[in-house]
Amino acid sequence: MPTIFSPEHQRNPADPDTHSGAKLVSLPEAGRNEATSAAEPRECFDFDAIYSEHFPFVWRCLRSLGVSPAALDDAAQEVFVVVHRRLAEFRAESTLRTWLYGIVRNVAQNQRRSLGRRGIASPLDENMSSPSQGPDESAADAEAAEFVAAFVDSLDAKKRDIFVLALLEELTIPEVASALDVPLNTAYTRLRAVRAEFRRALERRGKS
Amino acid sequence: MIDDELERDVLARARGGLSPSVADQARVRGAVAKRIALGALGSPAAGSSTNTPDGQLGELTRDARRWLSRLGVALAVAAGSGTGYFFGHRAGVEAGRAQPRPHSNDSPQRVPAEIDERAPAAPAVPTRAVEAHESPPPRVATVHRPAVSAETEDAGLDAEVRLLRRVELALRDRNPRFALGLLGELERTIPGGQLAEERQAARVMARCQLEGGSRSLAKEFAAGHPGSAYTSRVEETCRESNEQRNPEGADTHP
Repeated sequence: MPTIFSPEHQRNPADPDTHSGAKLVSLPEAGRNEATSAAEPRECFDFDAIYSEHFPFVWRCLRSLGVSPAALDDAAQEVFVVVHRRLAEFRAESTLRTWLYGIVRNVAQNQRRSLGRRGIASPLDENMSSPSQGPDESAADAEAAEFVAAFVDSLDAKKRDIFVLALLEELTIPEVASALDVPLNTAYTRLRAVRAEFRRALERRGKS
Repeated sequence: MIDDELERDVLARARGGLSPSVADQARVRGAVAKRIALGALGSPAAGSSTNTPDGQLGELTRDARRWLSRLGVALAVAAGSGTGYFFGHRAGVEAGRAQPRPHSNDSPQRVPAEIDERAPAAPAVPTRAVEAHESPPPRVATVHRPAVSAETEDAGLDAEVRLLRRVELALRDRNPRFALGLLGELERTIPGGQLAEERQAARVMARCQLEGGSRSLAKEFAAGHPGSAYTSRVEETCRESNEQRNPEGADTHP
């Protein structure tokens, strides 16, 4: 017999407040985006909008940070489930992307630990091409993605973060420094170093 | 010699190659909605794979997607609060601690003490995500309120939740008279309260169980609470009650 409170009738012995384990389905909050009064400003973070806006960023970062295609769906889910859970904690001390990157990095690290390093960059697959592009452009993009992914894989953790945030995702250096919790000068120094390495890798590829 | 233009070109192409498709985005979104709805926050065990037949998501995902279109605050804070089975900040005590409560005509709003304790952060320029949502830029709540009022409100909500749990158990046990009695008790001890919609949904379901179900009752609830996450539950309960009372299938109630 369904109740108000959940489509599931699962027991949850860990929950002392119920013998049935049914969970109250909460309602969305009416008027959530309106200030309750002029004297009470509210934080307004819409998960739906955040998902739409930042999913590509999350997906690319996960891929860049070595999450295998087979684990990408689960990793992306994990990120947004955590985002959903922790959104109330976000205090706008950084931009949303820097905050998101912290979550992405943790999830990617866990995935890499549990599944092993991806190793050689993945071969061409349908996930690497944009459906809106022609086959030649898709192949070129896929090749570039493969090259960049392999390059990122060769970096240590500090340079990897800098490369992904500053060069690949084009965040500003202050945002990058905030995301990585490093001084501005440190971010600039690492960026110079990783850019030099990237160009050397491009040269080697060009020669080969 | 590698120049800026070549570097930029390679990086731009890599971004394109690494970007998700529309299908990727939709697929993961469905899975996220399901995990949130199932309360499996942070648990890869509960519905983590997106390789489930669409039919299995069914009604649950529809409800979850309605929530996701409106929710903005972490649900799991409330779920993990230990106050009960609340799944979101609509009724979550802990969500109330994290941010100001929704406006209510019955009680003045209070900013929970926890926000007061945090130093106001330098406000960052909001991302396009927030701006695109046409809502004010995210800001830390800086209004100071006495902690006692927030705790008193929390205690009232706790009591309301506990009574509603008992209502739920009564409905589950197919004891609608007891459920209605509990709802009457709720009105006497906590008039108004913060969970009016939950109370009304419970009342309609209890009446359906008691009176054999009625489409009009369910319709009235839906009309009075457009977009309610409880509508499908109410309709299903009333329909089943009606079918049990009238196995021929006719809805004899007006």
